[in-house]
Amino acid sequence: MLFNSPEFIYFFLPFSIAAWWVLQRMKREHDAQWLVVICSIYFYGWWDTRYVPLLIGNAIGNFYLGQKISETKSKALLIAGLIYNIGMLGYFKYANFFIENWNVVAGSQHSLLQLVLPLGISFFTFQVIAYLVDCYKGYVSDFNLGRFAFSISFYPHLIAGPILHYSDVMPQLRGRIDFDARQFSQGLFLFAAGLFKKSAIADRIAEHVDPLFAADTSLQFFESWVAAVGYGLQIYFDFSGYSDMAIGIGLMFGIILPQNFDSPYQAVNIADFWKRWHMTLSRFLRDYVYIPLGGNRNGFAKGLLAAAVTMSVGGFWHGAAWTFVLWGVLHGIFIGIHRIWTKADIRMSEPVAIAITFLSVTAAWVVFRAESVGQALAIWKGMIGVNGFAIPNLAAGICQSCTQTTLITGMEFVQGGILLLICMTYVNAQKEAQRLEPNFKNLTYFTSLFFTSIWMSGSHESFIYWQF
Amino acid sequence: MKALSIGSFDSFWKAALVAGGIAAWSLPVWNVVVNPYQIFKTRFAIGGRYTSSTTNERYLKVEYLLNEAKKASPNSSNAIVGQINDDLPRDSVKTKSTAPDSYIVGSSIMGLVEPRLVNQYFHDRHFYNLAFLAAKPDEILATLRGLKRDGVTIKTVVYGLEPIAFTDIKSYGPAYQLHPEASDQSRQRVVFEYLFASSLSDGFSRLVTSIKGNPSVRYDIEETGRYYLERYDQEIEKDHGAFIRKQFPLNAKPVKAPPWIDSRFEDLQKLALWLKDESIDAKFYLNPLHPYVANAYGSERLAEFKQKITQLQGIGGINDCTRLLIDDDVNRRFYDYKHFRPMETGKVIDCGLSMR
Repeated sequence: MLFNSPEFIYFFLPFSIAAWWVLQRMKREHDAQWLVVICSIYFYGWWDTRYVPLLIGNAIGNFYLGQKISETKSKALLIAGLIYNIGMLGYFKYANFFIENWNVVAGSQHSLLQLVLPLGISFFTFQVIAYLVDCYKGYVSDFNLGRFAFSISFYPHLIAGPILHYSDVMPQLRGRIDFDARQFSQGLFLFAAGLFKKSAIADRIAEHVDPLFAADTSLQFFESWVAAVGYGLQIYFDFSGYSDMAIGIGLMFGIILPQNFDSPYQAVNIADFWKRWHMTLSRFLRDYVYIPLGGNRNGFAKGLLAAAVTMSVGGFWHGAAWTFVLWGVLHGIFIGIHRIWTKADIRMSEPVAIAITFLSVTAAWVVFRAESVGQALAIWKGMIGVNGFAIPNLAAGICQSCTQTTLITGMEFVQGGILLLICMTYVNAQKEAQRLEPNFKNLTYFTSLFFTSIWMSGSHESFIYWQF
Repeated sequence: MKALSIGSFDSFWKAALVAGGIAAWSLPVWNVVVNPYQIFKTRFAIGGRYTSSTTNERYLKVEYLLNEAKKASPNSSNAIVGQINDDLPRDSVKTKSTAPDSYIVGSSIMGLVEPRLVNQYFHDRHFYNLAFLAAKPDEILATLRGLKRDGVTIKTVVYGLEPIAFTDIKSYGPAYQLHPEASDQSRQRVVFEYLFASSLSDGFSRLVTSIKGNPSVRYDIEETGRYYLERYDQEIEKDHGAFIRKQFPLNAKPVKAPPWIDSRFEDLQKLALWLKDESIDAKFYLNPLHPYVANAYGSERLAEFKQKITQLQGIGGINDCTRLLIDDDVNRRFYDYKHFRPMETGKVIDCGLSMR
């Protein structure tokens, strides 16, 4: 069930929130928590019931394992837990990738496994890894199965994050949750803003970008730039829209979920970008990969290596393909360059820094979206003009003798420019929600966002990050 | 200037829920009343039936054919009632003499073809125009498969091809969704999606047309299956010269057609093989092109297109009518760069179906 689908918006969401608050009002907090767990299982099972037992079994198994690890402080148990969870992820997500590559390297003909990737397994796995490590470190003191089940399965974050730590949600569930009208209003506003980003912007951009990546011809200069910048905008509005909706739903339940985006295209360098993009993934990678690898405690060179490995892991986590690995490696290289740059104390003006960061990130998005490394190379070539300069219809008046492209009209540059301007200057929906005031202007704003999202969206497309 | 306060958040969230609820629930009401895709049969719907420019032919034509097949079945309620009333014995209930058993398929260009003209070439057949706007070979295959599975007779298929369907990269909305029998969705799911389809622009266009009472298009779903471009016909009748000047501007800039989509040829191959496997008589030909479109592809690519089609198994040699209507008067023969006018259909069908 997608957050932007009618069955979710018209039925599931109102029912689950209403039932939650009715039970809270009746002072039946535990029943309310279990009801949300059941709703979350139903939400998950809507997609494919086959993996519901896996979700439940994994959650229960990890809960008791965490408890045991906390009691015994056994490193062996922790390692066993990590191997099990990473093994599950590896089996479902990466087994066929390794078989394919083994076949290529060894010239063998091993057949691929008939596997369907369980929805949200990457997010779920990272959350339980964080939980087990926190148990080992003694950060976890609450071992209530109901609260753990709620925390791990809470449907707003179940499929695509934000990636939670134990300390994000479980402590909030210890006491009774009182209805807070301000928080609920902020939740409504964020949900509408996220739905608008997804339905009215991201899905509209996809209509222009998808055909470009599907074209079986080498994209030329203008087409390549529309594809690259367009996808950068699409994934931002799609994923930050999803995150706003998730956090908004959380607030409607009176639960605060961590922020996941903070105007990433306003970043002045690549390190700043990762503090603003998919913030909960960055936090996970920092706490559970980069720091255990030594971080920047072992000198400059080892710090660079740790950052490169961390980013490569982050890239591979997104998907079992060389394109994702290359995307992670590219970001690792960008971080390395940034560190060398910083060490050399080279300074530049903020607009130039923002532009360089944005262009680097945009170039990397090409390989993230491309079907293959070859396609990414072809688009990069197009971006530097190697494939030619067929001009869009809008610019036909400038050059009568030039070849025209039918893949883009030229309006994409105007639309993309407006969206980029918004990304570069707008404070972002989270901050807007924080300073929400109860007035008619905001009511009109909310209603307009919601009306437009519901009435003007196209088909209810899945979120990009749901595939990971 | 300070915005007008609504009091407190206690009032705000309630007001927001009411406003959001109205914004959301007015959508299904709108979809039933304005009925932009013509899916809902209700007395509350506005405007003439099948006169919306976003009428979903894919759904409605299949629905009509399935109903016709049901009526013609010896197990239909009509047949049983007839038997009870001592009309005809149940086993001898025959298919209506005019019940469709053969189909014209293809894109909007084929949608203008009058089945009567095709019937002339197949005396024992009854053609129905099963063409869809922007139809692709995979959709045609899925639809024919679904019909056949549900007991609809398919004896002959006539498919007029043009290169546009093999390069079109546009994505289409709810007006282009296949019937549940031709897709993997349930009927309930499809109806649910139409109830909650985001249809502001499609519905608004339908609303304006209904109020003006001057529809641009009328679909003859329950008879021939073809459609009529009524507003264009009125404009042509009024002043054909002005219509041509509007539709074919002198300073139209030449364009380059998009690249081939190879999967479309693979889908056409699957369709041809399926027709062969099912022993369905199939006729393929290449539709006439306007010089503007022909130039967008260029003679080399058009030759390549013909070659790609003829190389497919189960299609073989096909009649090429791409240049049939190209002469000094070509703009009089077309509605726009893609669609030739129905008065040319006879000539086109002669070219397309004549023995080689």
